[in-house]
Amino acid sequence: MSSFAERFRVMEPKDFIKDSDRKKIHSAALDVMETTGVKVLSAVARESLKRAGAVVDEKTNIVSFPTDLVESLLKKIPSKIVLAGRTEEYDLPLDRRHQYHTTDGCGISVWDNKAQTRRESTLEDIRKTAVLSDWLPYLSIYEPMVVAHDMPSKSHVLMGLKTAMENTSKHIETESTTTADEARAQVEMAAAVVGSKDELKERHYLSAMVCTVSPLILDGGATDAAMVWAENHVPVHITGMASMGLTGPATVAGSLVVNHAETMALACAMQAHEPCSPILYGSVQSSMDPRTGAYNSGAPETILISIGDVEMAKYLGLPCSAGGIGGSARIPGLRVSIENSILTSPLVTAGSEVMNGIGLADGSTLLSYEQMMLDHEIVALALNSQRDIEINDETLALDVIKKVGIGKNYLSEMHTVKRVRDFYLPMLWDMSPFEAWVEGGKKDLMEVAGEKASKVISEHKPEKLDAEVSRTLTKVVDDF
Amino acid sequence: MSKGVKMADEKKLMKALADAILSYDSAAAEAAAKEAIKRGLDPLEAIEKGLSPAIEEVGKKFEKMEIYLPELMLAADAMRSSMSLLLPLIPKGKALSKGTVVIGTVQGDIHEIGKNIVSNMLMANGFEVVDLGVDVKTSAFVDEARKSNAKIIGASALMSSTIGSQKDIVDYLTSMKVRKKHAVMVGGGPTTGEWSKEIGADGWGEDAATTVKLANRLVKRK
Repeated sequence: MSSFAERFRVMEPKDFIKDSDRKKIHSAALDVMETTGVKVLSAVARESLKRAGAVVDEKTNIVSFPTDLVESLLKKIPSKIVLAGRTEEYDLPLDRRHQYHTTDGCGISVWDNKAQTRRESTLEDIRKTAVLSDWLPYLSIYEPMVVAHDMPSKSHVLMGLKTAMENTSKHIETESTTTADEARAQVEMAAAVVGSKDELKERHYLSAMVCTVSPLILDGGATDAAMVWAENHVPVHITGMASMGLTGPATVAGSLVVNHAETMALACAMQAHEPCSPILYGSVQSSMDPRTGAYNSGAPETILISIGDVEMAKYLGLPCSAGGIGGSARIPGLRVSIENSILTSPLVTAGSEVMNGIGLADGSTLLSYEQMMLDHEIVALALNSQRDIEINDETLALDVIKKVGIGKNYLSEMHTVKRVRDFYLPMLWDMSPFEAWVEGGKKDLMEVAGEKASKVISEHKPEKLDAEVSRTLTKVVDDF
Repeated sequence: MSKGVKMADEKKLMKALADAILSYDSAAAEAAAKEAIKRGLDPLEAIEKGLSPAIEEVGKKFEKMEIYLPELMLAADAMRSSMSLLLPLIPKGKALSKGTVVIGTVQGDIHEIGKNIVSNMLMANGFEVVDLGVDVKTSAFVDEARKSNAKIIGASALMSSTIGSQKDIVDYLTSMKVRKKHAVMVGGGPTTGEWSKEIGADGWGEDAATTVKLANRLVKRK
């Protein structure tokens, strides 16, 4: 296993919902799937489900899922997979003992910290954030972070993906695919990077987020794309977003039922279409703002419901990419950081394996380079505080304790020299005295973070993508 | 006072209408409207003196954070239950509508909940609303606005991949040389005030309550 992945090894996840209660949520969702059904707006998915034995009403597009069918289709999903990097060094095993964070994706504007305002996002922001992500040691997965408004709308997703592939060696998750053709083009691009389409089925270099439309709808274009992802064994993060009180019931348990039903519906459609295609139990659920109905990602209820999603992933024995960070504050800085700090730790403890999304504020719409650095620090702290506590002869250090004896210290012991390297040191701040801060220009943390990001972006040189592969990517984009 | 209705009765009927709104009760609102009609209460007065003050009071409670969005929606539903019975009885020309709003979710986007909330709130606040549903073609917004002589077009989009269609509506109106006839207001998750300005729309509704205020401003502007 690569040393990169070992950085993300954490202690055994803790259970927050007992198995009998997980079963109640599961049974309620099965009931909804069979009696209420799920509207499936993709003809390809409906056809595959019908062939597998689901009851399809072609007039309403509502699919009723018999429980036996659901249970048998779910059994086909691989329980453990590896999300691959462009190079093996960045491979990420999903085995319940490693936890990874992604960048957030699909923002539409960028924070200008000096002017305290925002501007429209461009392709250059995707390049810069990909370079920065390539460098950030506790960031595992890159999602193109913004929409490239300066690119033609038809090909902006592909241009964003190409730019990402060229500027980071880490695993890439694509987010905003809305048609089957767009998915096919991205499969071609990922296949070019790993060698071939067959190779891509084995090395999951690209994964895709597919959102359901709550309550109980699978969108047409995105689900058509999901069928293409399935055919090519591109892992799909099924990402339900039922919001408590608005698109889901106003209780954690009720909204978990809606989300579980949607997740299983898309998982079944994919397994009916392509058995054994890899799936991650996604979900970024929240509560609504009771005053406006808006997505309230920084709320405590978001933590509770995300923990519930992790528990339901465990119940099904599926790889899990539920929850994450991404505060709802309108501007980056203190409030987003507070929200993200609170959001992160419980999910790490519960055992989500892939957590969304560093670097965006305002409900995942506003990119801030400063916030990327702050969020990275937050996830690094959370991960390091959940490291496995090793108990063995070497860590018990009995020899050293006896050698040092009473009243001395352990500073100049070789055991200390070796083990002190494991201590986590923050990257954005140090323990310098007050005077050093004054002499340094009294910079606040946002300023420090912005300077650090700029320095990394200008100095870090990601490993170059093979020129021939780059040309293939260009051709796929141009032909689209 | 309505002809042939005793003062005491009129008060009672008005109170029943208002109480139905204030208790968020659609069935009671429908029953109160039926009773008012049966007893000969002037429908325009029933709306102006019975229902409108009540929905205004609900709005004030919302502003003061005494109630949340779900109560606001229920009050709007109750308002619509009464209005749907009373409005058809008001002679043309005497109608009290603030104007027509053509509303829908843009092409390629099927998210409708936010749009439905806005649609309901506009209706409850005295606008006539033509709701075109979801995945609405740019030309359909404009054609309907021209047909129904709408003062406002409201375009909702929830995905960053679909908000471009809001600009298409503004551009289409300009190309048809009818831009000044119909104000365009935009809303939805990824939209912002800057986006609204950039595409030349007439305003951005951050949420349902601010969208109603925006619509009130836009109809006065005309």
